[in-house]
Amino acid sequence: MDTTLFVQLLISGVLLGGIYALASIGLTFIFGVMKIVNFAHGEFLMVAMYLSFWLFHYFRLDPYISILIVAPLLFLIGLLVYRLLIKPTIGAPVLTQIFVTSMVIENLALLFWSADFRTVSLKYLQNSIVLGPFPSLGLEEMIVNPARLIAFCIALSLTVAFYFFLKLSYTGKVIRATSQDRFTALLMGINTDRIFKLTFAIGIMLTGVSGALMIPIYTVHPFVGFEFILVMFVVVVLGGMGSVVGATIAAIFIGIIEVFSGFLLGPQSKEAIYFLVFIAVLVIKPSGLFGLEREEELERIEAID
Amino acid sequence: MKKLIVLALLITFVCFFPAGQAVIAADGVWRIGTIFPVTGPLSKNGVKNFDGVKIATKMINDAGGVLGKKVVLVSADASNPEAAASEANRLITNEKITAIIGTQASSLSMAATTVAEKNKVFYIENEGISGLITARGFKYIFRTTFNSTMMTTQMVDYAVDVLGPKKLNKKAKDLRLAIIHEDGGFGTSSGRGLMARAKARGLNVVATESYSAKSADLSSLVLKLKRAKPDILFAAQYINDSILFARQAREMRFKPLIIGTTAGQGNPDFIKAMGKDADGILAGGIPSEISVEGLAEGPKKDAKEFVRRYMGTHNGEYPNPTSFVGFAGAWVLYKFILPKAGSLDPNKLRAAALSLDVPRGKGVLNWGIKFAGPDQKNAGQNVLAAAAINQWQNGELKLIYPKAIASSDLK
Repeated sequence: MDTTLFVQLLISGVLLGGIYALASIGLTFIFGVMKIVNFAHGEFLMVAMYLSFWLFHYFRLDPYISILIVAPLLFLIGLLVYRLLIKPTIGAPVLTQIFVTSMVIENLALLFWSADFRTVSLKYLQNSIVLGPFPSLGLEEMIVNPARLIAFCIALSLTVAFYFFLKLSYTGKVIRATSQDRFTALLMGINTDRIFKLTFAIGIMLTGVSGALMIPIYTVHPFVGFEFILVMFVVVVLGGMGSVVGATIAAIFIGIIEVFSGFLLGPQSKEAIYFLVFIAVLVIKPSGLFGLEREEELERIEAID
Repeated sequence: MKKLIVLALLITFVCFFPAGQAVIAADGVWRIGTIFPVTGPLSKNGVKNFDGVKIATKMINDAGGVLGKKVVLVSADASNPEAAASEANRLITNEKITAIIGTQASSLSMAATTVAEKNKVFYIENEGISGLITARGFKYIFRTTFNSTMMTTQMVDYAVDVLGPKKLNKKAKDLRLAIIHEDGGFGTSSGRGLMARAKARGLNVVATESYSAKSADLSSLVLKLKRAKPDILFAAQYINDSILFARQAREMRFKPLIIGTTAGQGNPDFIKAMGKDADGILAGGIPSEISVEGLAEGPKKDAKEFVRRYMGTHNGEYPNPTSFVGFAGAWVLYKFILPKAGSLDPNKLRAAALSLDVPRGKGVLNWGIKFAGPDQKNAGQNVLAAAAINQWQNGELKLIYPKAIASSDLK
């Protein structure tokens, strides 16, 4: 393999990782704080993609601007779903309800929007950015897709912003406290119900951002969530079940593995390869690449005490 | 109170449901079962195909039905192979159906046809084209449309004999060919057909790749193909992955001549997604238009009537190719097989189907009707069905081959 090709594959893999990070960031957050596996996450992503599609279709609103409408709308949807569905079942197994919700959303989408495959084509994004050639480095021309680059950059900024939000802000600290020990948080006078509501809504809002960023790249149809849900879970688990920074790094890792194995071993084997890596990582480090080991977590909690 | 309401509802349901069934089961109508994916990932084409069947049914009923009796459809929804098998079972056991039309997709068809054959129920497959469906020596399964071998043989021949020489000025032997296909039933059987034909003709295939149609990314596939530098790319894809592939190929500036199928590149959503970039792309498979020129009076009238009714119920949109084959499957049953059999007894239907020998122009669409017998390799295949080649030209899918029914030339 020559250097140009290697770098090109690397670029494609990293950018793909950016998309996976975008798709799973909300899921990671909800899982980390609430310990709820949101099976309907792909469907919320689908709804967000549809919203930006329709805003573009009827009002010619650029998807990058429609983030400002789609994200708050998804926040509200998140609040509503939390109130109706999640809150009454906190502490009880919530899996079935969420699973049913995902089916309901999917079939409502099919009913109202039909199974057509819809796309947003932005003229200014169709010309790829060409890097190079760099003769001094032995590199020929390489291609970067602008829509993917934008998605990647926003995924990174979101991750960084999120990190600092959780680390520094009061709400962030309260969210972290609740995620570490809900009971103790209650004792400290934290309204954990409010925190859960907020967490769920923020998690769903993040899919709103992702949906708007993904619509210039992907076709939306009622089952689009299904294409991403599997890789979302791999990313969340690899990233350490709840670590947003970990999930982003894991997403990029998966993106690179997928592109390289797809190229070297053939596209039909790429899913098998990243699942193999996934299993291997879990065998060596059961808490994921960036998750805390159980003892570490306990130690840290003791240290805080 | 709540419990009372539920109870009342249940009682109503139990009382009236069998009564409703009894009305449907009454004599004086032909009860035909249908199995299509009207929900789920395959529903896009499933609904369009079923629309074709429904319009055919309405047309025959408006013309007085078959032998004076109206046709009534008993519909089942099957979004996956498991559902296709269980719905076929339900239609046969509970609804006492003895003739079924289905299923639009090969994977569903494999499941549904197995159940039908086991129960000795007459079955018409109108769009699943996998060679496997008719390779099992089944007695009650008949396919009105072409199979994947017919389609892929024509695609390869057309590409190297017409497309390559005309567009690239290269002879068949000098052309570099690549084949990609999704790894489901349809893609795999089409991919195999393409490879077999290319091999039989001693052509130069520089790359063959399969991938999952549910992939969220095909950049590695595009980069791999780009390295192989093919002149012509054969692609057996569904609509979603065909759009993703075309977009990523455009991103990576990979521009071979592409010949796909009507399951992917020929779909109207493809042009909506790709716009001008779809121009010039070919799609083998179902003819995109009915050419009424070569047809006898009767079939010509039927075809025109179908197009008129379809456009009337679809906001003036010209029929989707998959609606044509839906119509064709039902029409062959209503117009040719059922009148001859005079009964829904599967054995009589089967005998009637096997006795048909309708030349092209007098059958349905541009096809004749002659089913291969049970002793033949592809038992139940309509050997007078034919695939076609279409091309996107200025945003319209034009029929360019075979010459006899073509509306435009290759551009």
